[in-house]
Amino acid sequence: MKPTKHLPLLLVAVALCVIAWCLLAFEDNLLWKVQELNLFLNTGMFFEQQMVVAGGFLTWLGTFFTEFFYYSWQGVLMLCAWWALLMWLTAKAFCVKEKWAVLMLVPVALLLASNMELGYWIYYLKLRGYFFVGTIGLAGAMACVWGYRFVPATFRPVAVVVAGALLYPLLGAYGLLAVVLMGLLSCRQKDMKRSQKAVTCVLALFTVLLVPVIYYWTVYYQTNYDYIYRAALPAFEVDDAYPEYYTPFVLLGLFYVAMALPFPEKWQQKAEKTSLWAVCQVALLAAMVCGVWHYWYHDYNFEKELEMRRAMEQRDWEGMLRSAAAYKEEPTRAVVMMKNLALFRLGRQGDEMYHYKTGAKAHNAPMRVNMTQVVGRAIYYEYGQANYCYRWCLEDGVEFGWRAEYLKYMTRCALLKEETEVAKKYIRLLKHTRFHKSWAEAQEQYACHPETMKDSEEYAIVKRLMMKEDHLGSDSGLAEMYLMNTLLDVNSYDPLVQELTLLSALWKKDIGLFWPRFFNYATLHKGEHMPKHYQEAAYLYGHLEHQVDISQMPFDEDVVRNYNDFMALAQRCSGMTEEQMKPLFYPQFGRTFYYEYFLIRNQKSN
Amino acid sequence: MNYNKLLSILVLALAACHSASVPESYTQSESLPDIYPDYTDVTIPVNIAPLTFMINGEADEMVARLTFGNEEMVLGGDKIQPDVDEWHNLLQQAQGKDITVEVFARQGERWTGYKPFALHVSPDSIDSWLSYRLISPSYVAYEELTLNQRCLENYDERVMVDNMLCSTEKDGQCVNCHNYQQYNPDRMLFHARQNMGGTVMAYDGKLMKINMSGDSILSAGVYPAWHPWLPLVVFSSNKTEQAFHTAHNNKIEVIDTGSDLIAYDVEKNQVTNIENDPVEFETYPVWAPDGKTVYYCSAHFVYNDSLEQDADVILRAKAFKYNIYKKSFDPETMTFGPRQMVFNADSLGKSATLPRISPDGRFLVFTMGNYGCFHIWHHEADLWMINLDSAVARRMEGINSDDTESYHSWSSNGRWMVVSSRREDGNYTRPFFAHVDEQGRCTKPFVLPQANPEYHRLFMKCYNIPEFMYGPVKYSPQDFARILRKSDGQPVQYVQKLVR
Repeated sequence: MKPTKHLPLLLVAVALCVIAWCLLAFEDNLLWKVQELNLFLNTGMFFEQQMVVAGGFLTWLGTFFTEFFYYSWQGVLMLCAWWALLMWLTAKAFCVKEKWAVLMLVPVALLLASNMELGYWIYYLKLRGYFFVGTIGLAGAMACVWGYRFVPATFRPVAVVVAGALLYPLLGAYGLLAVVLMGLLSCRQKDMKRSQKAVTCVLALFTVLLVPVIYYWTVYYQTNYDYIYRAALPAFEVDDAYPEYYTPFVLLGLFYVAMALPFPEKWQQKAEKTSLWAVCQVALLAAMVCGVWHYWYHDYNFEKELEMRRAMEQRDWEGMLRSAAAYKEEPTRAVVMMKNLALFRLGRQGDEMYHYKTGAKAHNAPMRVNMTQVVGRAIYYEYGQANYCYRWCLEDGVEFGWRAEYLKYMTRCALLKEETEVAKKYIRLLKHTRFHKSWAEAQEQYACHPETMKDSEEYAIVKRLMMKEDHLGSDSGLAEMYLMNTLLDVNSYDPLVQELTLLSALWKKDIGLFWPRFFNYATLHKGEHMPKHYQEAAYLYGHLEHQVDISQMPFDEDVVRNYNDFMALAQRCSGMTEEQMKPLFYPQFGRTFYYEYFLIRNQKSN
Repeated sequence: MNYNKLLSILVLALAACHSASVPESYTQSESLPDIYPDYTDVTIPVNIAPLTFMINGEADEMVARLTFGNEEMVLGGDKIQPDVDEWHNLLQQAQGKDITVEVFARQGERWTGYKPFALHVSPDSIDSWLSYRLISPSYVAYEELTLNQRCLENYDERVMVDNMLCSTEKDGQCVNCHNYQQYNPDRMLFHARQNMGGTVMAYDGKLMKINMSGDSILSAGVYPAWHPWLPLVVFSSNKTEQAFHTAHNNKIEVIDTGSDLIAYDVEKNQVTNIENDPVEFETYPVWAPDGKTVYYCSAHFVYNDSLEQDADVILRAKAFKYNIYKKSFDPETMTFGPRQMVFNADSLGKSATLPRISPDGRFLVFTMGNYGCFHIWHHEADLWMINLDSAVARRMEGINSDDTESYHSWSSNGRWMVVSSRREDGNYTRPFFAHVDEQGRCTKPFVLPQANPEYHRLFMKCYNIPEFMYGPVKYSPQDFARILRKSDGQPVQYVQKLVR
């Protein structure tokens, strides 16, 4: 036996290991988030709800396997196992020799690309179980194509029709692909007569065209006619359509069609030559690596948002700050808000909030990304806006499908609002999940014994922050703007809540709103050191408008010195634009309110 | 496979199929069983689907014995799910009498027998079909909306209209306000909004799409009321907006910024205004069964000129107090009379909505909330009843709960009422049925039975606008989708007055 005989197989195995390692090493937070945005319930009702559309069985399986990303290694292991199965079935279906095993990596690479190209689409995709649906759909299709080869030639035309009728409800578009492949495969079946081949191909064509229409009129009432051929495929559409995201799926289809087509003998003989074979292997691998790299979504802010959001879920405020520190790029508002939340919870926002890079970088996505869909729900919750958190969970649950994250926040909000019966409803649902069950059971204790919530580290503080006064309004999807404006109007003697109103006034840069909140803060914190940024604001506003006599206020030495230095430098830079001044001022004053007040403007919230 | 293995499987299978039996020894409890749904001592129609239930808490197993005279049904497992035929047989025999239900629950090795309760079987049957919209209790967003119809004699549920057939990812469609002429599924309508929108009417085998919007009326028709026999529908025409509570558990207010009443002649495709006073917000019309009076609600509201109208209604949302009025109608001349006050809720500091007249014309049931017109989001909302003979109004004892009661409908024989209630959890609306006797007294309501008793607890949608029907609507969702997709809708002709 030649030592290189199993080299292709070894290459495939190594490739799978490398993919698994990359996913675990670089996309752990993404995978965690994907399962948080997934929901699989082990109930008959959940199964029935998935089966009302063609391909529903795939989404049911997809959501089942996506759950396992809760422990990312488990999910990755399963994904890789499915990919291995897909490769094996593809090889069987098209009689691919072991020598050409690397070819089987092509669909895996394309599926990997389709998963990793998503970025912010993870919040907007409506196809449930997306990460597994394509893989399982293709594996199912390949199994059927392989099975088709064993059908006696006489029965193949009938088999094509039967396969279409059975596979479309189960696998949607992947079932139709299987039928197409069966038709094409007939062309290269030596045991079939020419007439049989022709009949099979025509029947396959009609099956693909007619089966979805027949199902539309007789079975499925929940799929728009325009989408019947796309069942179980994702829809990259929000306010507009984004066809570029379908590229991996188109390539997958072309790959399988090419595999099914007859391969000229001459080419086969040429490909047997070792040198050409080797070149092909290298070229294929290189193309796949380049392709996957090209489609793999890389965005610093997206990754940081996921990292911070995960830390927030674990109430790891220091962890959130570690992520926000030494930021390499301009952050999104989501990152800034999460950083502020962490500082607030640690009681350090008044001293440190300008120590971090600020900004309002637009999300790196082709569609409009709203903060409410990314971190808005969690931010609302952590600031005690239970009604708004609950609202966005419901809105998004309705729009994008129920997800574990939504149900968990709805549970929390219901518990805080003392709506224990509806909290129990969500808890009951979560108890039907594999990995959120224990969380749900812990919440059940609060639902049964609400008096114990005051001892909960999480609930006690959120309860304190909850709105006491009610008014009607709307956030129009602008979470930060709404939150800051709402907190600005809160009247409270609770030092924690009152500080939020002062922080909102700082955010607004409104001198008139600042002073009463500043004095309230001073009264509620008598004898305590005034946080640095509040001092800076008072010192600056005192000089700017002279409405308040600040001469008797005990400002820290560096607050005064920084102000004087800032103004002196500003005088020297007169005539320069703000953009020209920023790099000059940032090294010395970037960590002060002075810099924020004069040089940070138009921070567009979303 | 060896024979021993086969035998073991057979034995296990037989064991699994064994019929339930009442435990020989158990501890007798003096309390009623805590079951879900709560069907203890409810009055049920003789033709209702089997009531399924389960222990509301931890139990390893349960057994229920349903007894009437010599008839006995013993059921067991983790849920009690009677067979449909056996159940109907029992109900037929017990009509006008009580079925006794004994419940036994096992925890570990220990059985507990609970105090028996009764199912009072009323000989008054209920209309065999109910239609409703299934919608998530969301605020602004919607995705999957269906108008469903359900046979109340079994668990057969069918989708009548599905908005997804006309929705795309970019352009959604909302379907709402299904309504029938005198419970007749062959004469019905519903609205579709936004993508491919219009009013769809099924009228004696004809399916039409109507475009009711026009310059002469405030907006398209919204809340409908079919005349009992004429091809005439009175609609309210509303402009609506939403606002959200920051702290209150009611969470959301749906507020009209303007509303009028219009009348639409189905055969002539003509529409006219019948109430359009700009300082009166008229809504929720309903016909008296004699077809000579239309009842509706109206709130007096004068806009503050210094504010935007949208902001004004939000700031003064609590100022909207709806009263109930009526207008006489002459079916011969199609002439409406002046309005008359029926119930002055404002004088009580309340707001009355959704008037519904009993088929015998003796009772008017409405929803009373603290303010506003969209009481499904008001936890304080309750049903009230006016005896139209004595003009005495009272809160309906028995049917109300501590939570929301809102939309309600009478059965065609006037002996049953279905009410949208959020009593189970305060958020998810479920249809509850109560018997109403000749004096207008109600019995304890029971929730729509489901094959799986846990269904309502796991289901994430609300039952919106429950309406009784004699039978199912025969059109398929695809039929409705086809008419919606096919045309822009036949434009209505505005006339100053409808004539016969």
